[in-house]
Order: sequence, then C-alpha cells, then structure tokens
Amino acid sequence: MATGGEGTDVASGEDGGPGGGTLSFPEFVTRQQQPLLRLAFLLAGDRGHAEDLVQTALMKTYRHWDRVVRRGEPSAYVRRALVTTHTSWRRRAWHREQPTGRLPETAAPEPADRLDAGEELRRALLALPPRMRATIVLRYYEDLSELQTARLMGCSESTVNTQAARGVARLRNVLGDGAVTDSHGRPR
Amino acid sequence: MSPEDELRDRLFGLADRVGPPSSDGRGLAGRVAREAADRRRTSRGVLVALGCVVLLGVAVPQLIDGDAPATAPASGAASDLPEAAGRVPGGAPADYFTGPTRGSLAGDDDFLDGVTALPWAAEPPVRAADGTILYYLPDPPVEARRVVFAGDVPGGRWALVVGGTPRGAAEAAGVPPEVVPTDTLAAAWFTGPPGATADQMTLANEPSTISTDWPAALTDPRNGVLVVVAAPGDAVEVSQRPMIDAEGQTSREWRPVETDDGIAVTRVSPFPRPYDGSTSYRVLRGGRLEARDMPWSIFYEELVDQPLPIEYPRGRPGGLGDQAARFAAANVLGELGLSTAQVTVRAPWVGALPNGGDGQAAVVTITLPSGAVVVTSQWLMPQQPDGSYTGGFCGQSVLPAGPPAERRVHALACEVVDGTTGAPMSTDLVVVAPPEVALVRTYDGDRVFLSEHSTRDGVLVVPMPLGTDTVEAVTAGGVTLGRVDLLGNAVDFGD
Repeated sequence: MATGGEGTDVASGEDGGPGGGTLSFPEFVTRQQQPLLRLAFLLAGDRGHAEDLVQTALMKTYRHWDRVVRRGEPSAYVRRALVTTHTSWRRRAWHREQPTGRLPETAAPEPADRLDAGEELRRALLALPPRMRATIVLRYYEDLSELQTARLMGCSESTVNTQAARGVARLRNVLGDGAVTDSHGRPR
Repeated sequence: MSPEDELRDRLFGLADRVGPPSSDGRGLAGRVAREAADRRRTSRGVLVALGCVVLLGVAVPQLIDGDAPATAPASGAASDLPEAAGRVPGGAPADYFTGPTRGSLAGDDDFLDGVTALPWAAEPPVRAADGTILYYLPDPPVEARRVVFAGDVPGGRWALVVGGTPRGAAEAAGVPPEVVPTDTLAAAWFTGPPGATADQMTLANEPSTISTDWPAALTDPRNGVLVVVAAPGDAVEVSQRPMIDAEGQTSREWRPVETDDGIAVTRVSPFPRPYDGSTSYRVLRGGRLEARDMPWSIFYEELVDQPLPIEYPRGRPGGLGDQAARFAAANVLGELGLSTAQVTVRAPWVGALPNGGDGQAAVVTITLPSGAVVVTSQWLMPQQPDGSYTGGFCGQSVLPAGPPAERRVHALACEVVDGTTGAPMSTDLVVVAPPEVALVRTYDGDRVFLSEHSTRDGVLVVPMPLGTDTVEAVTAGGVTLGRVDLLGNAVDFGD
C-alpha cells in the first residue's frame, strides 16, 4: 500500500491503533501529509493543485473529525474526500475559470522526444477522464482492491473493473506498447 | 512483468517527483483548523442573521496559493510574545503589515493609541460535537497590537488593527496550547462616523487570523466603500462582481484604483444587501499578480429580510420550504452581486426527501441577465428548540442560455445530515424535469445503466442509486431529453 511506509491501511483504517481513538488531527496530518500529497499529485498532475487538493480534503475531514476517528477510518475518509474533490474540480474546469492567486509561470512545451518517462506518464494520466484516472491511481498506486476502490469512489465494482481495464489500455496506447520504462526513465 | 506491474512501478516513480510538502504537518493542521473556523464564523454570521444555522454538507474548495511560505512551528520563538508586530514568524520580512501606520490619520498619535486600546470581541472556543476544543482565538493584548491603517474614508473613519497572541494565552484561557494560533496575526477593523474620536470607533467585523504575506481589505455594502491594505508601491485593481455570459462562462472586469503608500480607498456601486459577497480585488507588484481575494464585509442584519420574489410553478410551499428556497437564492445573488430586479428566480420543486424526516429541500433556478441559468439546491430541517436551523447544500451548477429554466432537466444528490453533529446520514436523488417527463434512468460514471424510475409531475425523489453519475429524462411518448450530470458541490463563480 502506497501510504508512505507509515503502516496505514486504507481498507482497515488502522490509523494509530484500533479505532484510532487517541489520534489527534495534527498527528494524523503529520503522518498523512506526504502520502496524500503524492496521491494528489498523481490525480492533479501538478504540485500546486495537489497541495490545494490535500488542504481541501483535510478541511472536509477536519469538519467531521470526531465521527471519522470514532469509525477508525480517517485514512479512507480523507482519500475519499480527496478523490471526490478532484473529480468535482475537474468536471467544472471545462467551463469555469480557475484563479490561482498568482499568475502561473509558463514554459514552452517540451518536444516529445525530450520527455522522460515520468513526464510521459504524467501527461498520459492527465489525458484520462478524471474518474478513470482516479481508478488507475487507486488501483495501481494505492493498491486498493476493486471493492475498496468502488467504496471509495461511490460506484460499483464492475465500474472499477471496466475503468481500470480501459485506463490501462489507454495508457498503453498513449505510451506505446513496449515503451514501458522503469521509474527512472530507463527502457526495460 | 505485466503491464499492471509496470504501471504500478512507474506511478511510484512519478509520485516521487512531487517532493516533500512545503509545510510541516502541524503547520498544515493548524492552517486547516483556522480556515475551517474562519469559514464557520463567516457562515455563522450570515446564517444566524438569516435566522438559521445550516451545516453545509460539502465545503467549497478555496484555491490557496501553493507557493505560500510555510508556517513556522509554534515553538520557534523564544520571547513571550510572538513576532507579530512587523515580522513574519521565521524572520522573513512581511510586506503588508510592517512599517509605520498608513492612512490620513497616521500622524494622530492620540487617535492611534485610542484605537489600539479598543476592546476586541473575544469569541468563545470553537468546539467539536463532543465538546473538544478545536480552535480558540483570544484577543491580542494591547501591547501586542499595532494600527496598520487609520484614515478618513467616504462617509467615515476606518482603522485596521493587527495583533499577535502571546505564548501563554492558551494556558491563561485554560485551553490546550495546540488550539491557539500563536504563529499568525489576528486582525480587526474598526469604523466610525466622519471625524470620530477613537472611542467612537466600533468593531466592524469579527476578528480573525490573517496571513502576514497577504493583503487585507474591508468593504461596506451600504455605501460601497472599499479599503485595500497592500504593500507600499503595489497597484490595486477592483472588480465589483463576477459576470456570467450566455455561454455560462465566468469572468470579471478589473478597474485600476488609485493607491497611496499601498492603501487603496475606493468605492463600488452600492445597493441594499446585508453583506458584500461579490466584490473582489487584486494586488499587482511590478505588473505581476501578487494576490487576489475578496474583502471582508461589514454585515447588516437588518437588510437580511428584504423581499425576494420566487415563482413556484408547482405550488407555493410551506414556510420551511420557502425558507430553503430563499436561502439558496440569496446565497447565489450575494455571490454574484445581483439584485432581485436583475434576475428571475424560480423554485421548480420544493419538497421532502425520502430520508430527510421533516426537512424540506428546494431546487432553485436563477436566470441571469445574460440568459445563463444558475441552478442551486438546499435542504433545511425544521427549526431547532434553540431557534437555529440545520440542513445541507445539495449542489449548484451554471447552465448556458438556451431553453427556459423550467424546460430543462435538473438532477442533484442531496445529503441528509444529522441535525446535531452534521454527520451525513443518507443521500437522495432529486430529478426535476418538465411535467411531461415520465421516466428517469440513472447511469454510472462509465455510462452503464443503473436503474429506471417513474416520475410524478416530472419530478423524481428517491434514495440515491449507488454510483449514479448522470440521469436521462424520457417523456411518456418515449422521447429522451438527453442526459445531465448531477449538480456539483464545488461551484465558486470563479472566486
């Protein structure tokens, strides 16, 4: 499970002991901030939006903290908030301006042949529909089962299965069969 | 290695690129708590004046600049008072609240001393449902305050006072140290009549924490006066309201305003409203956008109960349903800075939810001057014994101009929350369509058919079929009116 080696289990919600009753919100944030930022980065595709996403998800979690902790599933709750916030933002991005507070830096696009494997994958992920992208990230990065992913995304297992299969197929198409490289961009 | 395993490996490699967070966990937790408390205070101020307290089911995301410097740990300073009056914790220079007092009254020492000593209104600690204290902002001691701005403005005198919280404040108040923000400034605006003496100045807003690297501003909706406190040399631009065109696209027109030593004193067109929720300002430095925000607003409770004509095509609801519709419409009008004379407000459906007990939900359409339509929805429970109301926001969307609002299909997921804790209990699907629609089909995010339901008078209200993402409305004659998405929960009109 890709939660930063903290022993956190999204499915069982083992956040600092059974029930998580003694876990404070600051402790939770301290433990989860890095893995959440990594997850948000894969969903959002850039660091700025990823940090916004994490903060918004934590806000939603904070507002129901007592109940969330009583149920012993803060990790799952905050991930659900993160995913639903992300898909909600993406849906609106087509017809709404997205103020960022500061003007974004712009850079000339890199030629395709200069892109490393990580950048290729990032762009390929961004080309997926938001819910398909979330399915891919939850299944293959967070390593959730179809059932866990379905519960987190509020859809059926069959939908997860279909989305994941299509997502993998589309990523293979975008990146090219046989063009799979390792995490450092080296061809396998 | 299978494609799935390769994908897994590469996702890990990509995630490594994000690097470490820009702030420590406790700093982020504190920021989240403060943000939540600030929003709660803002909502409470508005809603209490409306006679209701609504627990919003979903927070509206606020885009926060990802480059904001990290907040220093609370234990970083050695002195008893924080480095509030002029320095950002951690030693970096602060541009907005340092330096001598600015404004036309900056040289009036008696006035400044008097304003500095004016009492702030200490708020009780913010508590969770089980009584746990989550957040507490005590009044800064007088010796930790400073006047950032004091000046004559059209129709009166305004002053901005900031202050830090001493390290021992939590102990003195008997609250846990982690719930008191000791690494940020708190700010309070005071206003008074023309020529007011210091003791004639009164608190204009509920004091709140501020970022030392972010400007501050206040507006008075009654006369349109707006004061922006930026850094010396900054340029300031003002926009009165977001504009939504016929395509449903949101934009703003920005007007440069004169500044003196980084202070902008200007006006926007006033009209009767309890608070200004539409004006925005931005600060530019060297042509680069440094900040964009909405000013704090003075609140006029007596302007809450203005007439708000709403058409009810399916019949006028009872008091609670009417209140839910009014509340939903007033929120949109407030954010868009529009008066009731500029729009057409209809509530095509008001009624109960399957799992909503005695509560009433309202779907409201607001046709804008451009022809675009804002659809919004609100669920409200009956009044509590203490006079408050509880409910939830059920989504909002902007539709381009086209068919009249009553000829369109609107679908939303309404979350029923516990009246005491605000915890979500169940979710219902509401579809409001023209009366000739007889069937509604639901589909998941993969466009897979989920369920089919008969409507009554074009309306469907059922427990939410799991996974519903879109709905299709079909007339009795078998004509489909197309598929529509559920209303979203994060519409912010570009702000």
